[in-house]
Amino acid sequence: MTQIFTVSELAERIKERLDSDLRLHDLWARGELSNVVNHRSGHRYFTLKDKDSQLSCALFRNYGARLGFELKDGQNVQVFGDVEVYRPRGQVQLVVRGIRLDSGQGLRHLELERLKQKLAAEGLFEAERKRSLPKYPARIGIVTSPNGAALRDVLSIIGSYPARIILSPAQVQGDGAPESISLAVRSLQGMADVVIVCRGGGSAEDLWSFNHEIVARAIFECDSPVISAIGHETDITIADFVADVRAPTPTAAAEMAVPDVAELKSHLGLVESRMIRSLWSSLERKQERLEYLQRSLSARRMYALLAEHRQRLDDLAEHMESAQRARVEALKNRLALAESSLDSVSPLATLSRGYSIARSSDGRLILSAEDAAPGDVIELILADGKLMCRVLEKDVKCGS
Amino acid sequence: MEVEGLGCGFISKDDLDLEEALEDLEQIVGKLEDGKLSLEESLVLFERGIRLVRLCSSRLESAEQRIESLTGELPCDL
Repeated sequence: MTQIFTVSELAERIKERLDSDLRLHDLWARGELSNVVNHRSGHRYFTLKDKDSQLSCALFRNYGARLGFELKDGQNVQVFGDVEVYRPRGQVQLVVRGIRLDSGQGLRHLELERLKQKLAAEGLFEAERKRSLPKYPARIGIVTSPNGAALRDVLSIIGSYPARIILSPAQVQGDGAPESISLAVRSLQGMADVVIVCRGGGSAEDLWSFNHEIVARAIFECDSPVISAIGHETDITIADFVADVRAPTPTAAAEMAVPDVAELKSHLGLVESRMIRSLWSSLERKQERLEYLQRSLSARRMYALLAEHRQRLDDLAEHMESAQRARVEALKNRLALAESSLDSVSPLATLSRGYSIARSSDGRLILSAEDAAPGDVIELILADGKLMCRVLEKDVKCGS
Repeated sequence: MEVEGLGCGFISKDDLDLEEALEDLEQIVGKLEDGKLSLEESLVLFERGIRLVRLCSSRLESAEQRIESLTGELPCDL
């Protein structure tokens, strides 16, 4: 759906856009003055132009009071300030906080630019060399003034987060400050997991120490990641360019350095409940498996086993029966065979031809006349029966 | 068993490395949730995990700010 803005909304949007662009703040611009108006209120308005463009500027009374010279059309100047939208007129303008004649006074700024280019060429600002911050630093180094508000801000954010806090005190403005800051950074070598270099807001002059090369190099060579927080959001120094992370304020720097303790506690609670839940579910899974095994063992499996056994039993019985039958058959055959062979040798066959067998009363075969005496009862076995006989007389053949 | 390497068994509250402890916890939870462990292994890990959680929590509860100064110079109101 198309959004239809009111003019104010649109102006607000433009303003937000400009306000959030750091490149449009705390900037230096150079050009030629024209349309200089010294208003009765003490504010001054003028246009800054070069050969192709021009820009409206406002210098409000409190910033213009200390001006050391008269503004005149045609002067070449350098102005310091922020680009803003003046909403009542929808006008983009430069709100000037400092102004100087564009001559020798620009020298320091030029030097700064030269240093910036030199360090950039050496790779000190390279995005690839920026280190990421440790999630849970155990040792936090702080380089700042021991008496500044910045330290207090940082400590109050770190709060109850359990880390060793190592303060490396530094003089953060005035003569000797750059040396003091770089020494303080280097003193933390090997002692911290993360280093915060910070100071509270101040004039560009106050923050100038952080534009020094020795400070930049100390930060670059620091063995732990460095968070810089120099002045306010709109103040950017060379230290900020070199640092691994730039924070808009000391408070923000501390927030970046340590995790939120309340969040950490709730994370721990979550971890605990995840462990409990997974232990329970693993127990439940094992229980389910047990129950499943139990079920299959008791019912289905047992019936299957039973049926299997029954079938085997049937098979065996059948085998046995047929084996038995075969055995009986074999025995019958053997018997018939034996019978027939027996027939051929049986004395019965001889008997049927008219012979008989004589046996004494005690069952001995009588093979010789000597075996019986007259008066003995003997048995004569014939083919179809027997006769009990008495010996009447005995006649033994001679020479036998 | 890999489980042995985990949980730095018997650390005291004071030399607890929060980062290490939290990393260990991540691993422990991961293994527990993976569900490939035996019951005994799960119980050992669970116990370690809970001990670590308790250690970290008590560390967070009781932390007082300990500030050292490299020059001995400290703001007087701290």
